[in-house]
Amino acid sequence: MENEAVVQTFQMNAAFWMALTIFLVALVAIISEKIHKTIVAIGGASLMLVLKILSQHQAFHLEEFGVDWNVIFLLISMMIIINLTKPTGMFEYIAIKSAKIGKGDPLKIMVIMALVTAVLSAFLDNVTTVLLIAPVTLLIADALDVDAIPYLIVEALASNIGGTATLIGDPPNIMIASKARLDFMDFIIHLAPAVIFIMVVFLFIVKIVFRKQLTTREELKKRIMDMDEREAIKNPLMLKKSLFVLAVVLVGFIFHGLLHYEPATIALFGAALLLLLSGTHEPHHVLADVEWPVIFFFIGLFIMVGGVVKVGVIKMLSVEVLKMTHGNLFGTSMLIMWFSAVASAVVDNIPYVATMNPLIVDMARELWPHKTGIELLQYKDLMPIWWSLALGACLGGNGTAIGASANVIVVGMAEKAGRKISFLKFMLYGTPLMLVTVFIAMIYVWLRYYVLKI
Amino acid sequence: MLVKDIMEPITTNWLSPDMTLDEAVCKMEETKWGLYGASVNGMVVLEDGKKLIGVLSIINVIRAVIPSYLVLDENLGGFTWDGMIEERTEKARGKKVKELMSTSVLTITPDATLMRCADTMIEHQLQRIPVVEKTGQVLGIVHIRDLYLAITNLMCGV
Repeated sequence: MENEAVVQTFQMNAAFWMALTIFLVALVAIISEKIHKTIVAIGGASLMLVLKILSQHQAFHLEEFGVDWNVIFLLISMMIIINLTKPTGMFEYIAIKSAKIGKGDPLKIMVIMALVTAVLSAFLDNVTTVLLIAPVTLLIADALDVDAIPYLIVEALASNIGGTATLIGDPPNIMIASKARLDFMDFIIHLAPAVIFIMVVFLFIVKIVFRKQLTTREELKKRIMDMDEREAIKNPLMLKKSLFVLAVVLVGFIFHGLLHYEPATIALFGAALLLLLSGTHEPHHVLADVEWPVIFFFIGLFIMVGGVVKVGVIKMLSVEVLKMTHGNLFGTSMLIMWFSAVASAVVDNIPYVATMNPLIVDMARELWPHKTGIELLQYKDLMPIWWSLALGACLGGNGTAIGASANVIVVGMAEKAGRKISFLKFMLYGTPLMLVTVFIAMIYVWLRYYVLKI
Repeated sequence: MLVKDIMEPITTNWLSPDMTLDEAVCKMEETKWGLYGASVNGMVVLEDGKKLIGVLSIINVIRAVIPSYLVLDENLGGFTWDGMIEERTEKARGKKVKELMSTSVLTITPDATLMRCADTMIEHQLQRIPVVEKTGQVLGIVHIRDLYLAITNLMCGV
């Protein structure tokens, strides 16, 4: 008996160190960008299985240790819907229309485009939004003969802010929602007000900073006013179908909590409906255009994180966090918000949140051992911590050029257009803005949940 | 006939990678091709005057003038203005040849048959193909018109 016990402890220790090593090496590999992050994630996940740290059953079928299919199918389905909507020209229409509403005035256009980007980002993922908006932005800047770089940076920042507002706006929110079983309206009620405050301040800052920088000539404004936004619409019928499905999906999201549907169910239904309505007999292209590397990155990460959860690394960390804050909940939530912001500015916020989610659950178990299930996950004292995680992880992305995927895309687009945005140039705008926005978020969480308690 | 029988030898008709686009374009414009006296529409790019590192063609030049956003987003084709090509040309003027040239270049040896040359050019839709010795030395270039001329000579008995 004694021998067996010794052997078991040894095995546990070995698994513990192996899982931790795999996880840390993978993290370093992801940050170094020497190997593609998707390959690292799949590699790490398969090692967790091969070394029997996790069983395949646990990785594929158990929510606690394995792949969160709710997140995966929500992402895939939204990508399918967007892939079908993109060619209709709807987004270009919106962007050109916005520039015309701004009467060709460069500063007004910047403010309006930032607002449009934020709103679109709240409902589409940030990368998609920026990919759709950036080319039109380059066109408009060209027509007005102004520097496109400030516009692109402002849009990346706006998209990360806007994405914070809803469940589907940014991957961290999707993951948090799934873990804590929160619904779309929870995010609208708790995060959207914070984002609106932040957006108002952001637009004000944009106006002040760029007031003198952006000027153009009257005859160039005419170029914008002469554009006919309807020329962007390539397929009016498909546009109507897309708008219909987007409306159905939005209504579905608003009521999914009430109707007891998971968000992925709503999105999958929307994707199926739009595929059907599109009348395509060849779904190959639409499906091939799903960002499979992103999807497999998530799958790999979930399994890798599952491995470190199972061996107890995360539980140990959660105890450490509580020791640090002496169990003070306000302190914990502020620690998590600022740590998340800084961490997300330097590393991808997706692996970060994938790791933090189970950590917060473990922490909750320590704090309220008598509660379980949804009662624990949505315990009123725990909720501000989830919101702090979401706000910190999403807004932190603005800190550096690599902090969020939208930033990376914008830098890449600028380079293709022959303009470089250096790492420092992005930080010059991004870092102060990140600090300001997280500060506002901090005040918001403090006032709402710890002073007013609403 | 073999490739070496119809190729244009490389003498001064090459570009260096650090030339600006306007220098390259003017050089191509001044370099006449064969008997017709028309300007060439593509040239090899040689490093240090020896090593083949790319080809610059009129397609590359026109592509350099088109802004990236029109290529990235096909729905933006309707939003252009008169005077745009003038502005973009002015902006593209200073770009370097090495940024714009095609770098994956198929080559052919001087001793290859004309049929091999014809087959390669049609299969890969090439307008021109550099002729390179096995040692790596660049000897010449075959424009598709050189090849066509070989066929017209046979057919029309010039």
